Amino acid sequence: MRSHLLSPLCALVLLGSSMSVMNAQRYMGHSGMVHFHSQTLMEDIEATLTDMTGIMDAVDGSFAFQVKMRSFSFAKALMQEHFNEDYIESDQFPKASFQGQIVGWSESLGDGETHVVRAEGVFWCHGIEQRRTIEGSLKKADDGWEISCRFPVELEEHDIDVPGWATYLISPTIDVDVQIKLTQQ
Amino acid sequence: MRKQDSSSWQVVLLLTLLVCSVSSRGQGLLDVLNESEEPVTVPVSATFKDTRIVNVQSNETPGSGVLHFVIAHRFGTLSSGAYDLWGLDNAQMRMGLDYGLTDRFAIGVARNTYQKTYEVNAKARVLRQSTGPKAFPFSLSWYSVMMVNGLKASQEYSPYYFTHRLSYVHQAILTRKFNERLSLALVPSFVHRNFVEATGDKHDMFLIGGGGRYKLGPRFSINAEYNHRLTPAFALGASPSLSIGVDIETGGHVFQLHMTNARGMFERSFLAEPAGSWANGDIYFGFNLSRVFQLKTNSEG
Repeated sequence: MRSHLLSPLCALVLLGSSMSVMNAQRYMGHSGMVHFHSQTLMEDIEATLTDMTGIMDAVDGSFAFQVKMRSFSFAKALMQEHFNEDYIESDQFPKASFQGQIVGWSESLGDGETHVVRAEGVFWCHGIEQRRTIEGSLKKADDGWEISCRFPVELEEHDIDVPGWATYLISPTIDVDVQIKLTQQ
Repeated sequence: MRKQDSSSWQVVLLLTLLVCSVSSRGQGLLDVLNESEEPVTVPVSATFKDTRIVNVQSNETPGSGVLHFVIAHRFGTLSSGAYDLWGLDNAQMRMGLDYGLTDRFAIGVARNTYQKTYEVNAKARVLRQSTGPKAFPFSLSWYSVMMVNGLKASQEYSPYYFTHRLSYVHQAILTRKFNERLSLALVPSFVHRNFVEATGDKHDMFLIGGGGRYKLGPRFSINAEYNHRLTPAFALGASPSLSIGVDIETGGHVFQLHMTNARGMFERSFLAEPAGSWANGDIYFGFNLSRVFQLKTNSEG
């Protein structure tokens, strides 16, 4: 009876300790910066947020990043309202995310130098998933990882509808800049 | 018996723990992020497209640093017939400027051709409907306006002092955005007129108004409003004001096109004065055209 109980207990302790090792390789951040920019001859539109969350597992290079669409702050109040109400539909689709894996992950990426890497995963925005490969840079600092990237988002790919009269004001391709620091958990 | 009981308990407990730990291992990183995020309270935005439903105020104010310019027209009655092109020959106009001092407080001035009336007004968002941990079910805004009759003093009313020209309206605007499409408003109003033309007419009047909008598309909605007098009106048989219309939004403009039985576009006129009868075709076609100018950009851009 006693030995019966002991073996699962051992397994549990082992599992628990391996879990904590795995968790120790997790890096997280809650104050990533995202900036996007749309440029046409008629209008420049840009917005920024500073509360992107991110997590990366330094064992296998898997990651997830997420933003709340209502966090984007615009210079003009009406642009922000239109972004949330008419285009991104933030009540229906409150978040956007990118989850995936860094291609060719190895421990040598943590040597303190800046490395250009490719990340493969699913980019989710306005309720539409797109498989994306995004190039970015990665650097291991003393207290965590510094990650930045820049990528375009095609409005059409995410079913974001721009009425005819607004095509002069809103670019069909939006440039997105991302910066985040992830620290060990 | 007891021993067996306690040991089976332990096994169940272990199994549960095991299952839990395994499932947390298989959990996606996105779920870990979602768990780490603290929910935030977010105010509900865009309950209405503009600061008015048709004539009646909505809860909305221009954002901080935003100048909101409105040109409104009410043409003559539809019943005036072909000679006046169903009213289009006779337009009343209102020009207004509102400015958002903060996201929750705005001041404004306006001029109406009807009785050459000037307006000075202020509007505050007192409570905001919001979602999240500190959710709140409705918005409450306050609107106060002072109106100045600008007509030359008539000999009939001598002595006629400047104070006779003044009237005031105060409104509490309760609104709720039920979903993306439907927003409703309940608007109790108080009207005070320093001067009434007929003896026996009332200086003070209470009204209750209701209105709403239903969005048919992202930039298109149907609006309606109704004002009911709680204090009986002096002119017997006068209809309360009823208006229906549409909002069409294009970028920085909102076009509101409507049919209404109230010709005046300032509060005293459409609340306290008798409106035409819908049944008799005393219906005015009109529009409000608004344009916003961001004079001061949000510093944390």
